[in-house]
Amino acid sequence: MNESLSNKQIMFIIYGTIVGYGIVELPRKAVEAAGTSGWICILIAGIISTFVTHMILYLSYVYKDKTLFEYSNILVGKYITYVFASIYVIYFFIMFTMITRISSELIKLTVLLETPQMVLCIFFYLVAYYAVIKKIRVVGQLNEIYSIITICFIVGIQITMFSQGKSINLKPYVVTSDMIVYFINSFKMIFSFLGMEILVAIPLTKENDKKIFKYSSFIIILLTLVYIILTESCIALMGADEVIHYKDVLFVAIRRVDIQPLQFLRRMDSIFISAWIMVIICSVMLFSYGAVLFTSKIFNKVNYNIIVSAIFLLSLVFSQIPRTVAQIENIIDILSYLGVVTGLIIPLILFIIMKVKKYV
Amino acid sequence: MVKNNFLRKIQRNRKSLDISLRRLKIYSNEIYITYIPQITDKKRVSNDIIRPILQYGKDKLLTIDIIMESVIYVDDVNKDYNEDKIIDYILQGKSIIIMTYEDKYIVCDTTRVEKRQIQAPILEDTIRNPRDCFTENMDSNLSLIRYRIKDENLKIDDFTVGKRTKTKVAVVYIKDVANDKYVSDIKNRIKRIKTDGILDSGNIQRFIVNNSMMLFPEVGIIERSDKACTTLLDGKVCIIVEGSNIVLSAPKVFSEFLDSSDDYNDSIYWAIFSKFIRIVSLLMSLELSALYVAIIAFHPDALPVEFIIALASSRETVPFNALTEAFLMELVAEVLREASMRLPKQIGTAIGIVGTIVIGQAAVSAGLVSPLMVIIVSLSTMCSFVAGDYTIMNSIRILKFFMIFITGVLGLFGFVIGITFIAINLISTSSFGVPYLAPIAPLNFKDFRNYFLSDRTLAKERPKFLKTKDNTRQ
Amino acid sequence: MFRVFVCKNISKIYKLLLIFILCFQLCGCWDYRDIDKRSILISVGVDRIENLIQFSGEIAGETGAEGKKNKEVKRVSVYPFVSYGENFEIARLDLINKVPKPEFLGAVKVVVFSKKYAEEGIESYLNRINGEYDYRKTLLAVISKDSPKKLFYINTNKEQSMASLIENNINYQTSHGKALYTTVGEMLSDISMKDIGYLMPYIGLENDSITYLGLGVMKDSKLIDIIHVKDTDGILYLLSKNVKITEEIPSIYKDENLYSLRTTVKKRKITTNYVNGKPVINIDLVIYARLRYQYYIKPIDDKEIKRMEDELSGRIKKYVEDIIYVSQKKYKCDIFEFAKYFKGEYPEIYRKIDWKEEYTKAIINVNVKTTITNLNLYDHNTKVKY
Repeated sequence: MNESLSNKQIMFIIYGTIVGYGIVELPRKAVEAAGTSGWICILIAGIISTFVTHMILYLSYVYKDKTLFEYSNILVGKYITYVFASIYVIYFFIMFTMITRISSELIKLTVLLETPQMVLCIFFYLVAYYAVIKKIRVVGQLNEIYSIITICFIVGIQITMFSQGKSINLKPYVVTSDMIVYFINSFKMIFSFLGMEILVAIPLTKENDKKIFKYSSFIIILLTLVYIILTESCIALMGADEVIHYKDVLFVAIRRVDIQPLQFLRRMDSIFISAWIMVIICSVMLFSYGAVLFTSKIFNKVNYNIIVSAIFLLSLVFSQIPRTVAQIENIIDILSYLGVVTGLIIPLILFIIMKVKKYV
Repeated sequence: MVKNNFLRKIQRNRKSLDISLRRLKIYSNEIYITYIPQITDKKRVSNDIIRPILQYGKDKLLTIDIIMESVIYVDDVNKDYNEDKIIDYILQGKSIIIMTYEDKYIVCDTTRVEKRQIQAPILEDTIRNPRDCFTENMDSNLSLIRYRIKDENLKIDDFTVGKRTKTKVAVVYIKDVANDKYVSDIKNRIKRIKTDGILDSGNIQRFIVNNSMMLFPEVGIIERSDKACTTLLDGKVCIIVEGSNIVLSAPKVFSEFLDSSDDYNDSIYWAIFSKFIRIVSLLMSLELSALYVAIIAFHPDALPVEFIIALASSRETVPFNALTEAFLMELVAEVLREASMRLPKQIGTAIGIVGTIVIGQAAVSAGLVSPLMVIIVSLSTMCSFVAGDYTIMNSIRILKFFMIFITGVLGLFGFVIGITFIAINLISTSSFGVPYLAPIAPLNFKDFRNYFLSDRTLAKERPKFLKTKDNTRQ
Repeated sequence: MFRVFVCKNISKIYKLLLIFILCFQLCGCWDYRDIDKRSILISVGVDRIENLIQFSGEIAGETGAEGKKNKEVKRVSVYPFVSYGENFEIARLDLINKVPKPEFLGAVKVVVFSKKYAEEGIESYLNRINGEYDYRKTLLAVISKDSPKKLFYINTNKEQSMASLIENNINYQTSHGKALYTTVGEMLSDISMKDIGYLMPYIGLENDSITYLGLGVMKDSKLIDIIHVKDTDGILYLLSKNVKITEEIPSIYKDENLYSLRTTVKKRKITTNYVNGKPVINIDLVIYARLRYQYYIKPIDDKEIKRMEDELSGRIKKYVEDIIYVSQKKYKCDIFEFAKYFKGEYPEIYRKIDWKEEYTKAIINVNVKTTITNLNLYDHNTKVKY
């Protein structure tokens, strides 16, 4: 855990955690919130996340070589730090458990119809375990490689999808009388932008200079653009009235595309599903690393490897608890609120305390 | 009368080691010359040692120092006092000159071993580059390096490894370029080797890597001397082992296994294209059979309708399922490859043709495998020959079976999981501290661009991941 | 003590656990099924016979015989199937009883609805296609004059499937701007919008070959009318992506001479307005035309070219206006997706009105501007100068 990450790797970690399970349902949420003007909600949510990310990064930047556990010890004392750390552990734990479970359900429903979802979960956990046990350097580098590959794939496929759609489906772009509604509904896009709270587990070192802020803004702007392209391509292909009915709208939209000149790559859904599985692996790996890190800080006398094994075994057990997809979705909805707490409220409290301490 | 301790030691071992002892008497001096005839240049001993001593002057005073400095013609001489080392020197092929009543002896290097001529390379054949490759003789190897790099900072550190073989190992590097950390790390690891014998550089390789259970090689092999010099100029360390014609180079990262010296000589576009071809071939060699299994068995709808129907009709008569078929055919290809390596040249080509015809054609006609499978297996076997340094492909060939297996269980999902496992393994490997997947992870655009362009005029700095002391090339 | 034991042997424990998990995983390849062990359906036909649903179609692969390979490249053969049931599920069960291997729907190219079934409504089957993961949503859906079973069983040429014949026919027609290629995905989007109807290709067997006969008008996913291929020009000018219609215009000389012109739609702009409680739809078409040849070569001057342009404009305008009028008054259904344009420009008004009603009262303004861009590099006015 003394190994450091470069600026670019931190940038891709932000990407890796934010783009996860959420992109599958994102167009539906956007259209539900604001019809064909869903891109405004995404834009607003993106701007808010930029500020939140900056705030978290600033805290890490000021307290170099320290994760949240250490600098909140300095700011608010030992006991509240343990409370915060426990909240983060619970949040990350449930997050990566539920992401694994719901991704397995989705894969079972779409691609591998007979395979038990527990088997899929186990394989996700095996991969994430192998990465996390090698500590942050491997996690960061794998994430870097996979993020670049998946960005290229996803953007490329979306642009080809876009070319098959009808631009008339995208209108009206903005309905000015509904702007307030858009603003209020943009908070529904939270789950799709959750993920930057993992940065509290990544310490910044002296290798990471002021450029980190530029990189983080860049990646979130890129993300917002990618999300907007995703949403618009789904709407162009399927029409806003149909998009709201599908919970896995992205996959449905991909399967509606057949581009003749590409010959044997005509049907692109397999490529897209592979890219999406890579994205999920990155997410699971990063969130499990967060959970493991905070647990190891709380129980700092226990061997790191044992903590990793324990967390993964527990997660396997917990992932089998919900019986239906509806239960998982409820848990994820509750999780979005917890995400606001961990991503916004706790860092905000620490940020304010830090600023106050500076002036006092 | 034998009064000397040295002589006593030699007499004790004379019969068992087949040591030859020549007694010279000049005036009142008794001079003994000992050597092992099989590994000594007898002509040199008589011309450069015995003749000048006998011709020196029958009445002049002779001491060890006078003999060493004024009499004998041998170029490499030194004197020693230690009687324990005398047998070691003789076993190394040196001749010892002993004088009674003297407490020191002269060690003359008159070694002569049978050695090969410098020949063209077998493993790393090239189109345009120099083709003089290393032989089993350490001196010739060092001479090939010395005449190319005439820098005073070129350092050659000698070690002796192996209790019984006492093999000479030379660690070669350029002092003001190579990072001291790697150099000292490698030297320490060599010093720590405690074994009976080292006969080949491959034996050293197993000892000096981090974890010999690792799948991917951390050390590269070099057969040609110009390639060795290129790696030295890059800031790496070369390890030359006496008796082995393969030189090791460390640290070595994954992308360098796919390098070929021809890229630096031809046009830049060809270099980019050929690098691209090699990377695609490596991926194909690893993944093609697995993708075949995934598509046939799990996701036939990934292909357009005509392809699906063509695939199905080509597999109508095949009794196995796709997973078994792929597994068996790859196994057969590996057996063929292994067999063709051991065959004598005369029947090698014939067996190769028979093998292809029998396995490929007949199996298809008998309806045991589908024609597409034969194409895929041959393609994937051909693709595994593209790497510049073949040792990386051995790992890929094993991982191929792992990929087939995991794809056969879980389809495309298993495929991605398998690739991820391999990627994590690659990332967590490090060659003497250098991340194995540099310059991809950690990402460095400049090194990445220089790697692809393969142009010495554009690569103004050495690769960053090697952390060399002197970064600039131009 | 236990902790020390665990720490020392941790790698052994991991390996044992891994082997145990893997053995457990690999005891069954749950989804593994080779493509040649499946019945590949190439086309599906849906019909109603009495009160039973009839599924028919073609399966690729075995001819039922030994399937011995001959030396040349083997062409795929197909054989038809038919099954019956009170509803889709029972009809599918009947099909499962008849085919030797599990069915694979990912290769279905065409869905053929009989005219009778289409009049009842195809929405239920489209929802079935949507719900089944295997079915591709990019498959072509057509309505057939004859019963699908007859189409599939009458195909004596076992080397080429009826599905390929239908698909190639429609594909070819569409690429030449003579027909519309509707995929199930597009139809599903149109259905979800609820205010619009859509068109489907209508085929039939004429002289033992598949012929494209026109377009079927679907309102609420029920077939209400067939537009004959001769009358589809207006629709093609409005909806086709790649119009290439040939028009013949009589010459000024009023003899048998005809000018053959090939028209393409250079620009198609549809704007909407809402005036006095009525939607106004403005259609602007910019047409480029090319004179392919004259039946009998006569000189053509600029005046004649202008006359041709005006004549073409008038003609195309009439096509468009006629078909829109028919859709407003007879069908009372917006089959041209004008609702999307109106919704894009006046979303607030769209929410308040009922487009189905308003469309019938809408005012349509069609504006066509034709330019004859070239005379095919033929100089009709040459005079020898020496």
